Amino acid sequence: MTTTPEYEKKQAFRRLNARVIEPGAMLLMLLGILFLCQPWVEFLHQYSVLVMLIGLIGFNIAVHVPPPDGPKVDEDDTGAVSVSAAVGRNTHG
Amino acid sequence: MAVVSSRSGRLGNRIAIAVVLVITVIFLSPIYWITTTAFKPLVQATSVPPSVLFEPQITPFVKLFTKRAQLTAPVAPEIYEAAPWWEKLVLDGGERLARDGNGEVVFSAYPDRFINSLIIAITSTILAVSMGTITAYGFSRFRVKGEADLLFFILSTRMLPPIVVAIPMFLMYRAVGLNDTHVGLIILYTAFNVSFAVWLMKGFMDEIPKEYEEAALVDGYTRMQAFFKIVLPEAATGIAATAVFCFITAWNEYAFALILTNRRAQTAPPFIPSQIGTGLQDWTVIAAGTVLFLIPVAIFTFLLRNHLLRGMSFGAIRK
Amino acid sequence: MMTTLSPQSRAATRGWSDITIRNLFVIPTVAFLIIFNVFPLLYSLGFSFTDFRASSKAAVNFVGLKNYADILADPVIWRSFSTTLWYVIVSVSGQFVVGFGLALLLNRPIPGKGLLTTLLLLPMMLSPVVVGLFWKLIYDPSWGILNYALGLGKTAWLTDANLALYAVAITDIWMWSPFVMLLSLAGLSAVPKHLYEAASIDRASKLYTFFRVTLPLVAPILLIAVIFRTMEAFKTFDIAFVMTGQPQAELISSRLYKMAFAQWQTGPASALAYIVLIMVLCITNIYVKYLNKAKER
Repeated sequence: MTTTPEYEKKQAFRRLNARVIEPGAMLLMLLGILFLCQPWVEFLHQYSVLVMLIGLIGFNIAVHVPPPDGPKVDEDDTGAVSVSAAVGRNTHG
Repeated sequence: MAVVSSRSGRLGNRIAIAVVLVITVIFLSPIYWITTTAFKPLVQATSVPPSVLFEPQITPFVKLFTKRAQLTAPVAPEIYEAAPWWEKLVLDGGERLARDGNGEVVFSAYPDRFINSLIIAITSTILAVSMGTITAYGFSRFRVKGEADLLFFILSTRMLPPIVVAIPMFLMYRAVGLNDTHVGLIILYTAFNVSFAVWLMKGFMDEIPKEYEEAALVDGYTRMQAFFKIVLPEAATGIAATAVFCFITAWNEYAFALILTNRRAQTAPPFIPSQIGTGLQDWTVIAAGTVLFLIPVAIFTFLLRNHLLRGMSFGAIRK
Repeated sequence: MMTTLSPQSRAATRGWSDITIRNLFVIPTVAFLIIFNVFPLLYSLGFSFTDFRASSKAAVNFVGLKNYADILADPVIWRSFSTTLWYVIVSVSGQFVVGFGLALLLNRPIPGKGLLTTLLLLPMMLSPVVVGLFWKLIYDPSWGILNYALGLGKTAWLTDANLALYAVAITDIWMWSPFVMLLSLAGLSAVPKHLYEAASIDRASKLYTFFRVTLPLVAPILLIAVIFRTMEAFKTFDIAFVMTGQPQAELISSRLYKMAFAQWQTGPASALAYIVLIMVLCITNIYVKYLNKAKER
């Protein structure tokens, strides 16, 4: 494995993406839906579409960033449920 | 839970089975109720208390298929005697059948709508499954650039709310004269189902070993021959299951049909509720229409029972 | 992972090449979907910035983001969104409880289990609009079977402003609990037997086994079922539209339908359609993420 500074930088970004950007975008999407539908605060309702849109676009960019090399970030693999791969290598997930 | 050995475990098991049976009965009672209503005499359909025991009759079905008018005076006995048995059923209920100038019985709109439903559902199913099958083969066997994104795009078209798509479709169809035509609905249902067919068929295609085709190619088949002679027969079960799913979806669809059709090409789902609110409601007739409409789906559900899980999860879960 | 078949070079010399076949198989479908899904949506995106009315021939004016601003300031639409969210919460949690509960009960050897499961699955295959219709018969205040069976007198389920939404949700729960049950059963039956055996050797309590063994293994599938039902519940149109006209129970799809096809406010309706579309796309993205995650296992 080569560890040039450039490679490290790339890896750091990919780790940041997997740990912060992608979950963050997902949170924004969920928050946007909540803001849109909550019946209490008009301010949140009015800006909800913007929040959803930022989340949606951010998420779609984030899932196209390849995952970082090395040990997988996602460790909750139990390997029990027999579900198959209809999509070979997916970028959405 | 899976390991039942102790005595208390066995008792728990019995209780669980009893609860399941009770819940099943509760779950099926609405279907039972609508089915029996379709065979009830009019007075018993809306009686209080609800009548569970009654003499089944098929008058509602005769009424469903005909146009009727209220009798203003009792029928002359000779006319009554001359009437066929099914007309007597209607006369007994205080109504007469509407007849045209030649004395032929005038049919209601129901048979037309039912036939529309059949034509549109069957044609769109054939189109969607054919397109879905070849596209799934393409995705399954060849390298496609941006495959995951394309598959996501295909799936997301299925997730769109029908009303959202219906607004521009209505305007576009109006511009090209496709509103209230069979072709218009067939195209839309095909588009709606093809995404589902691709996803489901891709799972089935992935399961067919590539070695089968490789052997065929070595034997001198072209790729197309291998696809038609080797792959398609292997995928037959999957194709059948996909077809049934597409048929049920098209058969049940309401929103597009409501917005894009009104007479000529109207299917049964928007028609059945529209009978309500036109003067006196005859629930037995509505129930009869509903039951006839549900029969194909009930049969297909039984045929499909082993593939339901797979279809419902867009091919994600195999069973 | 996606390799083409090995004798491709020879195959290429006979008949069409693989590339041709691939293009022939994939491109028409994608093009078809673009023409009949993407193009209409772009068309209505254009309308969402105008004051277009499909019922009149008046000149169409560009109004910018006004439609969006108006919609987000409209209290009736806001209430429809809130009603929809509440409906989604009630309906999906109901389906989750009933469906998962049923799956736990069914996850044991039961004589005639196959038939039982198939019968339970029947409701979700039926047409929502027809289901809505015959539940109307069941809910009827004066002679409906539900009031009689439960001794509720003359409860007007579908015309009572406070009850109508719950009546629709109950029907939806009836229809779709079997779906959650079906997916949960698949998850439960995939839990390896030896894990339960190990738990019983360790004298772990039933509750402990459930929370530490069963639930974590079934969770991914349950999550898929719940997200999928959430998405579908947000889109609910047929059932609610047929069953009740109560303004307090008006879901966003019904509002959209009325705006577009009863009031013919095509421009603003397109804008509202886009807001709904963005919402549904957000859930679709989350759904596909977890769907693929479950597939990788």
